[in-house]
Amino acid sequence: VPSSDTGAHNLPARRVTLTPRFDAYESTFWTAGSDGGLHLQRCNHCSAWNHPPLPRCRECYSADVAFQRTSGFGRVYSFTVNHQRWLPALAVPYVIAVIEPDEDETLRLYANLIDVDVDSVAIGMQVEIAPVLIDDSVWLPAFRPRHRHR
Amino acid sequence: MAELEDRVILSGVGQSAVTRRGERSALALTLDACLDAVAEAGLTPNDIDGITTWPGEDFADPGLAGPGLPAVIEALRLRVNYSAGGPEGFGQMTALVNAAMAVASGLSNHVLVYRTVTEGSAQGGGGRKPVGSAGSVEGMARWSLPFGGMSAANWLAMFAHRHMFERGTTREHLAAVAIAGRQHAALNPKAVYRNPLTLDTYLSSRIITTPFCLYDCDVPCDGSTAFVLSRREHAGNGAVPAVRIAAFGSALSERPSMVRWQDMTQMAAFDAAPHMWSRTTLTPKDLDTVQLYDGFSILPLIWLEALGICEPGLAGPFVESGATTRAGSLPMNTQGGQLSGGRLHGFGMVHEAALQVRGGAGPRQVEGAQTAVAAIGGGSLAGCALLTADR
Repeated sequence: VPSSDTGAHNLPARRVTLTPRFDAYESTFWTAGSDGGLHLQRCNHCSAWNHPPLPRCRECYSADVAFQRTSGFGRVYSFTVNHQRWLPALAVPYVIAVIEPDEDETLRLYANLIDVDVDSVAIGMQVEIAPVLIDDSVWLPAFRPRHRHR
Repeated sequence: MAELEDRVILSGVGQSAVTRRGERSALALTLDACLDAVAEAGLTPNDIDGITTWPGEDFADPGLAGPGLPAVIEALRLRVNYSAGGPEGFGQMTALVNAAMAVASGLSNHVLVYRTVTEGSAQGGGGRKPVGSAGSVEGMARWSLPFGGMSAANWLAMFAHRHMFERGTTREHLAAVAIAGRQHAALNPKAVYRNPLTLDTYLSSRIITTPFCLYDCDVPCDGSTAFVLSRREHAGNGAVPAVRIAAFGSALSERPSMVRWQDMTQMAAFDAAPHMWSRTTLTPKDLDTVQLYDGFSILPLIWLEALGICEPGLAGPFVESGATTRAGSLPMNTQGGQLSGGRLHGFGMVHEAALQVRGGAGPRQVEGAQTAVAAIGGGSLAGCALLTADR
């Protein structure tokens, strides 16, 4: 069961809080990680997935959009292992990745990879969602290597 | 009907001193560059009736923004028919296209364009600072800062990794960009770093964000670059030969965000470069030299591919072969680029391209150069210009 950051390694925000301020139409994306899942916006009219969320579907402009819980699985499209301590409180190294969610490989989701040997990260790596609580109610959509027998 | 580019010349260029730790103010540097450019154009500030810049004063990152338009208009006591500055658009080249449009449309006769940075002194000895600041994150930054994507280095490192994965680019290819730039910097007295760089030194330097090491990232500096764009009829009246802008490239068709880019082997350069070539009968074969934005070493490789100079995946081997050195077939970043020359944030590329095509580059002149590309931007920002001798 994904938990708060008590057990998470390689998380840049662990000792420095960089909390996103977001619009109402995004709030589910940033807060629904409390159930351990990844929630992305989908159009009820044309079924397209949207990320980042928008007030209207980017494909058909329908306002009938809603969040769905996804499988939480995806692959690493690209990544970088950051070693630079941009802020004094930053814990380095950490991995920033662009994730392709299984539901739509054209989506690009910025996220941290946690609980991972930073030298083992590679493009194509299979990952699963592991949301991390960073504020009272804000969850970052971090990912970790996918465990086959989970 | 004449196109925009047929109605405009680059009548003068100017550049301040370029230093790592400057003691002069951003405004002082700006006035140095602007007065140089105005004098080259054979004009005085009284003749300037338009002004543009990028990004303007109201920009938070330390040292990234120079003085805003009001400060420069006041200091030079300009009376302008057109003025525009701001950070949005297709990157720094936006300021030059704005100026050209003001001239071509008849709003102005002579437009001053400037870009000033004081990142060298603003960032002190503490190294490169992150974009934005800690705390609550608003705007587009909310999609990168909370994940520790705190610098353009992080964003563009992910383009580099994908280019390596799909196109076979290697760290040695990236090193070749940095090493060639350092060789060229030796001929540029303004360059920040002029001592030779070896592959061993490159490979043993500290990693910033994989695959980028220290030498893959450009060097913050203090400096200002300025241009005057004038009506074509002004050609021949300046103190230096005029330069034609044969074509601009300003197109953007991808979703304009660094953090959701679809194909990270490409950048907005793949929109801007074809747009530029569509506006001229010249082709990549006509190029004598290229000045390609190298905020990070991967960027000129992707520009070489976007411009059609190299097939996708062959820019790395092209640079590694020595083709882009002074002795090669297409000298690139002949002033040292930003990696060694200093991060003048794109305007240095246009400045060098102009000097080269008018035969004014001194000891680093590419013999007989008549045609050059200046390209600015990485990731979701891209603008380019094809400069030719006005002969």
